[in-house]
Amino acid sequence: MKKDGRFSRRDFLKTGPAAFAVAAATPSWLSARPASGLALEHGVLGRTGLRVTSVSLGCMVAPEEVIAAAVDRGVNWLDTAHVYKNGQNEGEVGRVMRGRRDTAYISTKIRSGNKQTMQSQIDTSLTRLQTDYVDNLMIHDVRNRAQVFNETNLEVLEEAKQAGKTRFVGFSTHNNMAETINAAAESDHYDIILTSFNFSIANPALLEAVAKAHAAGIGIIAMKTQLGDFPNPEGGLTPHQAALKWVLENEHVTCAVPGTRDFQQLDQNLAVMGQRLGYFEGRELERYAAATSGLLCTDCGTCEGACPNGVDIRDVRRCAMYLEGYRDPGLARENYRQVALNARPCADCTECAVLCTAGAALQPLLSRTHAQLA
Amino acid sequence: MPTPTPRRRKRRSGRPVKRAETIASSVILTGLAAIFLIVFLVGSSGETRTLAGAGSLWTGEADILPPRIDPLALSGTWTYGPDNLYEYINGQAPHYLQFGFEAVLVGEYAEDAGAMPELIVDVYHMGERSNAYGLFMESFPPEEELAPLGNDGFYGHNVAAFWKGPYYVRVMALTAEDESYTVHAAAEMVAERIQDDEAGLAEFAAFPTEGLLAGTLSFSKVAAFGLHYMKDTFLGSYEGEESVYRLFYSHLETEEEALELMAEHREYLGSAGEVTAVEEGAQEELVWGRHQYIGAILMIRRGNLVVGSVRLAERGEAEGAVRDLLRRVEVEP
Repeated sequence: MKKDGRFSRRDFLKTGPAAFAVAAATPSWLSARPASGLALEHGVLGRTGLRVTSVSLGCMVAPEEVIAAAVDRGVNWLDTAHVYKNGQNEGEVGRVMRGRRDTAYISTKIRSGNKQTMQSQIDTSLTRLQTDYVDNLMIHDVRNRAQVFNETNLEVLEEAKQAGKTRFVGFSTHNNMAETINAAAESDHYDIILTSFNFSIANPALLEAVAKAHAAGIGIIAMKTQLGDFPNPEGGLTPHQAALKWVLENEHVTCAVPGTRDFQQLDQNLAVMGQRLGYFEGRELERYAAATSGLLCTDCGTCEGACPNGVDIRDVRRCAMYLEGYRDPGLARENYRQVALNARPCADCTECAVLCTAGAALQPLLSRTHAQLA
Repeated sequence: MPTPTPRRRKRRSGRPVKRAETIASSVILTGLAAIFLIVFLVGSSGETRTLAGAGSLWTGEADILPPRIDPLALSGTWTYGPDNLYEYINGQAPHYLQFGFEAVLVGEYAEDAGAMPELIVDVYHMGERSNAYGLFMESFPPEEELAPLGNDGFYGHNVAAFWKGPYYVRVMALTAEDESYTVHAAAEMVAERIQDDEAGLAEFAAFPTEGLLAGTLSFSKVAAFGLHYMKDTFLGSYEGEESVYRLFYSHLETEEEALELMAEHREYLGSAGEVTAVEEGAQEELVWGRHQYIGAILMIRRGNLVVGSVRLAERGEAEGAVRDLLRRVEVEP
């Protein structure tokens, strides 16, 4: 077994034939009920020491009935946020957890802002959640190193901890994850990081950052594990369970919080606990990843070719990310001014000489960025 | 230091192995290996699910955005579709996508063209009025009160939101200062620029008003009550003698769709709860049962209409309420 309590592939090799024999002998009426006799799998969440179910619950799209079912089945990490459904989601979690606060950990997130606003968010969240404390309080959507070390954020989190309003603190990150996670690993401010993590965006820099943070004692929780709701450009279905298995194969990820909107999805997600990724599932994921590549820039640094006009494509793309991803035109313009060879020539090109290995259409992206930032 | 004596493997002595046993062992081992290989390669049974499809992108309703919201002017616009909504609202995207999100037009307002924006107007095109209403109601802050803004709306601190026509609109100030007055005025300006003569959703006219709890009429695009086969469901909550119960209906496109939904319901309820009664007639079909987390549930299908109740524990009472709603829905245009 792995050090965090999960089964390794070797364990699977040991127990696989026996498990298959049991499965083969299981009557069909029982196998139609995947939740009954559910084998829970737990891992230790970094320095917090909390033992959490490896498949937990992203509550945002889950109706109350589904949240209740998850908790009843032993899921013990509920992820919500102050802004989800403008607060209704915290209310749903609060109603489910009323009278059984000790059966699951609650994690919520607040937006960065001035100190007073952030403190007000914490108090409102606790009221909605019908509790005096949450187990984890996070800064929502941290996007760069500067935000990791933002003094107001750190002060608010520390004060909330001291006041007993939260046991642990952390942040969530959707963009520029490697930079933010690396920064957190260098500090001792954060106990937990909730990061986007799936088969499509886990480039070497992100994997390395996650390993580094894990080694530093930070608990890593994965979200957007099944690549959200991106449609499959090839049509058909997405390999949903396989994607979740892929995430849990990473020994530095303790827990995943897939968004779950109905009982069927809950059954599917929970059934992944203790399962490993099969060969054909892996291949299916590869095909799906290829079909959806280019939807997100992962800043993988593997662009191929060189621009004949010398445009500094990586820097321009970074500005485009600030502009369209972060929606921070000020930051984008400030950075764009510093790009030595910007994308001015791009409008005259019909085809880009540089190839994005993830499949993004660079020429229109670069032209658009220049038009908006120049 | 004494040199360690190398361990010698003991050679087994025993009876000679017969050829038949060797063959049998080989067959068994080969069989086990094949079974194991299948399990190893395939992993567990991997059910998959359909994801939200890509809708049409924004088609030019930019005139919804006022050119000026004094003292600010429109300084930039952005659009996002289903494939990149994540880049804009990150983890909240699934909530919008499940309500049929088609595109969002984002307007930024600043004091001058080069300045940082101080106000953001998001106009989400949800395709249909019911989708916009459903999203609005599911995103309504518990601390706020409904206000006459658009069809329904609310005014909060530095934020206002409403639905009107197929649009869900959210206006926010990007400042720590209290700019609520500007935000509220901006929301009203945007609401006036959206043409929609209907007051609310006509679909709710069928719900009986007696016992109906205020503010509980809602619309669920997918998976009402967490049941994966439910779609386009209109719901209302009622004060019962013992507890709150819910009535609902879903007008499906075709009778085949309704039949399929009922078949899925029977099958799922049988596995996740119990089906107490199934009655199939020439005109309609009734399923009565109980789900572990939803409670008593009765559903009647007639044609392409599915009507039901949840948490009405007594069969006669449930059927009476459902048949009353069924009659009303059939009468309403």
